[in-house]
Amino acid sequence: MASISLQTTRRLPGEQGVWVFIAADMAMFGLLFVSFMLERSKNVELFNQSQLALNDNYGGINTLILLTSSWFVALAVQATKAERIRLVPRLLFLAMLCGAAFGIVKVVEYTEKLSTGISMLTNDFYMFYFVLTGIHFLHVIAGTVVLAVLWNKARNAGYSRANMMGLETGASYWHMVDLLWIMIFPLLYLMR
Amino acid sequence: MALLLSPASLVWVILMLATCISTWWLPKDAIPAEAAVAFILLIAAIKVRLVLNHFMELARAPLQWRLPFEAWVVVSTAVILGVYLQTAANSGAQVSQGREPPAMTPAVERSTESR
Repeated sequence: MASISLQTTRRLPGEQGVWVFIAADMAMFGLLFVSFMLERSKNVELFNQSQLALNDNYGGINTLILLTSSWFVALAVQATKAERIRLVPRLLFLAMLCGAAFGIVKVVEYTEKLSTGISMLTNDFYMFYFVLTGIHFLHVIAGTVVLAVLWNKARNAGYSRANMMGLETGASYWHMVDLLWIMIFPLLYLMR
Repeated sequence: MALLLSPASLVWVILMLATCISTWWLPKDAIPAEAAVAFILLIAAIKVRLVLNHFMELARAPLQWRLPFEAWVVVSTAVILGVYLQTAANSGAQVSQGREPPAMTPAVERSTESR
């Protein structure tokens, strides 16, 4: 059985700086969520009506995709701690594939909207839809690039139990991307 | 292998199930919209906490880092849910007083997907 790390002191995984960034990013999205809810309260019928054109299946599937990618990343970190070094690049690659899959679904979804004449200029609901999911999508793209960098280093056995700061830093960022979508999805797609 | 049986995998299964329940079961018209949305938001909050505490390992981080993130979950969920319920109450009051809800912009072409 893989060796278990006996952690007796509390620690943040990865560089502290990324956690400052994560906190700031989540604060910003939190404000956007509140802003969305306040606008919605002034236009409930419009928001509910507009939401009907959104496809819950795309949103739900994208949630499942990101959750699975986070699982792969968490396993990669655990594999490194257990010194199962050959597993690490494979798990990171699977996480990258998930990031790409999310992107494909997103592009399909946006294309569908735009082809039916819906854009961020259509009304306030769709402005929030495109801005919230768009900013998040940029985070997914950046995160996938981060995963690629981690994967490349892992391929060359660059991470080990004693040297995994970069891996944990990137992992923390990716998990943030996942948790943001967990909030964004019900807000935009499921709130009636 | 042993790695797959780790706590992270159990967390993943819970997250996936919770997502399926929220996305494809709760929105059905069997229960009132307000109750369904409230459950969906609470489930989302639980999912975020699972990711924070178990994937991001905040459960084993110094408390001065863990608490602000826990607070973010509580505050954002409470505000979203609070505004949602207040809005639902106001809309209900408007309808019962015979007042029209705000007019919509030109009709939006509905998605061909069934809800």
